[in-house]
Amino acid sequence: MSNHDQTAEHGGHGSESSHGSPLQYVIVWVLLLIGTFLTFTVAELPRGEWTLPIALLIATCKGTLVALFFMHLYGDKGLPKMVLLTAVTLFVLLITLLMTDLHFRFPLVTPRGVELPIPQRVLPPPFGPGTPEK
Amino acid sequence: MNPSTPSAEAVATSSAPGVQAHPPPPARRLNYLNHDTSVKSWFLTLDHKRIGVIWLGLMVMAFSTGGFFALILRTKLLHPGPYLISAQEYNRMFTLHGVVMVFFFLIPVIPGIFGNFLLPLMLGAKDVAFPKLNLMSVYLYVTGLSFALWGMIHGGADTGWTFYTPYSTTTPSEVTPILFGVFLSGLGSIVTGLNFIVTIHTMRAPGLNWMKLPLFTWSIYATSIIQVLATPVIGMVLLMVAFERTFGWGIFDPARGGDPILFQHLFWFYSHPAVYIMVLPSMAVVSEVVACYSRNRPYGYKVIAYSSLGIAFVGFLTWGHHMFVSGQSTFDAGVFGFLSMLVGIFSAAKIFSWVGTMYKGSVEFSTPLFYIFGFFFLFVFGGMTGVAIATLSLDIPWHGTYFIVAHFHFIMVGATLMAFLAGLHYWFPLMFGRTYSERWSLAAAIMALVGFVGTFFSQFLVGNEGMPRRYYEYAERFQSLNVASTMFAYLLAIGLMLALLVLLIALFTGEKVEHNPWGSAGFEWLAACPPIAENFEGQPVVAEESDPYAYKVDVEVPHGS
Amino acid sequence: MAAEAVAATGHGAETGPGHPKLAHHYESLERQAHANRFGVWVFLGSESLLFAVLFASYAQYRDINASAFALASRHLNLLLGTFNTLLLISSSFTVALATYYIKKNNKKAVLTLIAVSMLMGIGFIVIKGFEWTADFNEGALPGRFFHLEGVPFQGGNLFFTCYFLLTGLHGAHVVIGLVLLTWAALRVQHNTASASYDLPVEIAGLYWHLVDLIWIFLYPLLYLV
Repeated sequence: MSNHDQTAEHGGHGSESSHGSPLQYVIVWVLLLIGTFLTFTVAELPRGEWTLPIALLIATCKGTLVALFFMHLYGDKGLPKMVLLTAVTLFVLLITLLMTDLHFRFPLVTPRGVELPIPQRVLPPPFGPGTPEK
Repeated sequence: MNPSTPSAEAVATSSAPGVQAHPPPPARRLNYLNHDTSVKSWFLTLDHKRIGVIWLGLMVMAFSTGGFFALILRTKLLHPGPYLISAQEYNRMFTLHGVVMVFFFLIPVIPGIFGNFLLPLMLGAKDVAFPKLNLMSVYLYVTGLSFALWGMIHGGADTGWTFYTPYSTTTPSEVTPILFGVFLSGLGSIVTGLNFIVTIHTMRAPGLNWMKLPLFTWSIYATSIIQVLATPVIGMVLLMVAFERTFGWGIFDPARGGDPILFQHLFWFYSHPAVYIMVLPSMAVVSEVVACYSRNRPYGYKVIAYSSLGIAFVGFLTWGHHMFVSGQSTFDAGVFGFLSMLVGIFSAAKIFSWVGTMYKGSVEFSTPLFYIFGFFFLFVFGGMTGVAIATLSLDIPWHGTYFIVAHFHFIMVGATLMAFLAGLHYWFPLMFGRTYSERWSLAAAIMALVGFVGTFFSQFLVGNEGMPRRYYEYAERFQSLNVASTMFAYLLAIGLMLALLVLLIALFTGEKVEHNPWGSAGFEWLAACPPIAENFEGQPVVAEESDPYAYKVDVEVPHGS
Repeated sequence: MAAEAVAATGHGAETGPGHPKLAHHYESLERQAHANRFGVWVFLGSESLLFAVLFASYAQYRDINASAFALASRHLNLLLGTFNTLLLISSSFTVALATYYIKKNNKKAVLTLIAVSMLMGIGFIVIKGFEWTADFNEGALPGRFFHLEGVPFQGGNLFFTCYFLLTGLHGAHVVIGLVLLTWAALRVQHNTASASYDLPVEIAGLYWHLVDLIWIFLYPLLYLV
């Protein structure tokens, strides 16, 4: 990484990272489509509070696939990974301390919204009976 | 390093063939300043050295503007009651003083001037990785500053440089142009940081590995990481405030369910690491100047190098200490208070190393070193008061008083300004090929330091007595300390103006130097004074035994004979 | 300079017409490409932090107004949102293929793939436009313009503030991505990007993948609360 000398064995090959074959891309694409479908169906789970964590977990997996394979991080040298890792770490830091602050605050400082019953999400036709409002 | 020497190129007069009417004028060596003097070559320059000089001019302008506002504020504060300016104008002035000084001076000053000028020279490269982006960075800054000035002329904001909501979203004063100006300047900051990171990673001369890098480079690297990752946050936040002002989207408006504390979290998530964007480059300069004038290797090279990265990292963990009394949870306050102490460890390690560098060195007193002594004093005292303020219980009475104002002036301005001046005097011969009057620059330095300490030490005292900050009127009992502070502020201003004058005179009439007047072993001094446009002739190669701190070795620094 | 570059790197005639130009301050095309690629990654890191602010605000307000957010989210068109997700994922796939085929110097395949990706990107924007229009008509608007039936004002207006900020910023990035893809396609067309210097395609690709990555997280947060 540090000292690129004058020799270039590949005769000017522009890229230095390993690249997948089209088959690898197709597999990743299919996995992403499956992940999207899963996210979509998980929306109508009866226990509503699990929807978001599961959906985010699936999203994280999808995102990792995109980063590793489409963006060629898999098999690449360490630098881009460091950049991404640092950015993600900072984001996690921000969210964590923000959420803990929110939870431990004196309640009247930031009043919570009205608690309403959350209707269970019903998938729109043709996947389901359709939402009442629409 | 083995650079070739710049060859002298004579500028011959044209005359009839075979006939010489006058003897040819003395040979004038071409360098980056004089090889092309057209206006276009300056406005569209891609040369990092010229860009560094442009930044110098811009920074002097910005500092003068911010300083002008400060002097008016201090003059008003001679009297406890209404005097000189109205309350509304007073609010606008301290806002603009803060905005200009923080966003348009302290953050870009050392990376813009010295980072740009020195980095490629220290790395043995011809330029930074992206020279066009480098130029774009300057124009982003200038555009941003223009927007901010436009806002100022139309009355200016009165929110304080921290733009706290909901006041900043509802006040009728001209906030939006200033927000936009800061946004653009921040974008320039990101671009500069990006440029430096890539430059340091990819443009080192052959043989120059990380552990041979001048320590200046390490600190600039850490600064650039913060610039790239923290600045987008404030860009977005200020944009959100602008949207809320313009479109009524109640993001931070309690009436619409918004949370002003969220604004503070997001604002300080950038603005605390921002102070490390100011301080780390100062430390970069200190490492170089101390090593040179002590004629000694840095005591603990790795300590200084890694503590730069340590400060950058820990700096992100501490933002909530600006929000102890804002309504933040006590849990978070405790966490932030504790984490804030950690920064002191890395900072102290550096101070020990620098002092250790001077120990048993062959110390040569000079103006740059005097400024460094100023840095040590102000940074240590400012830092210690910082640790005190980070203690939750102590911050409750001090928050919002002049104690805080004095603390951050000591540490942000004391450190950055002192280091800037030290660096300016140290690298002046390299940048312009001339030396300055040591006697007068030292006089200016003494006035500036005494003025600075006097101004803000009085403010520590008056803040501890309870005088609130950002108040137009204050209680009678605070007056004597305020008067003292203002008097010293005038002394500071005179000292700084004298320093500028000395350098301006030196620019045109100073004694010319060709090569390394300080006998520094730094890599950048292997270029001529001033360097040629290409920095070096040919590609420098760093030998195994090369060392930017090769003092106390019986080797003569290679001259371009 | 060109001669030096050739001599130094031992490359073939990399700097003739129709080939990428070696900038004067780089010693080799390889180092130039490496620096440019790394620069793009640093920039992507910066962009992620930009979105991080909005995600953080969203997280905070969702925590405070959980039920209002859920109710408000019901008013988004889940089908269109899901379709948009599929569009973007597929366009990311075609762009990735393009970065593969550029290394095989298959100019025709690269141009076709980029065109397909751009079409899908434009489709995304168009569908987003439909969604936004529907929201305007319903009254699902940010801040003081909010007047949607059935959703309390307190959390509802904040949901749509976050929604419009997030999708607006994301949409702007899609547009920038389209511009970059156009630029890459033009470079391929004029032979200044090829197997030996595939950087333009790679840069546009990386940016487009980031845009996709962000949407992958936006989709469940906005549509499936």
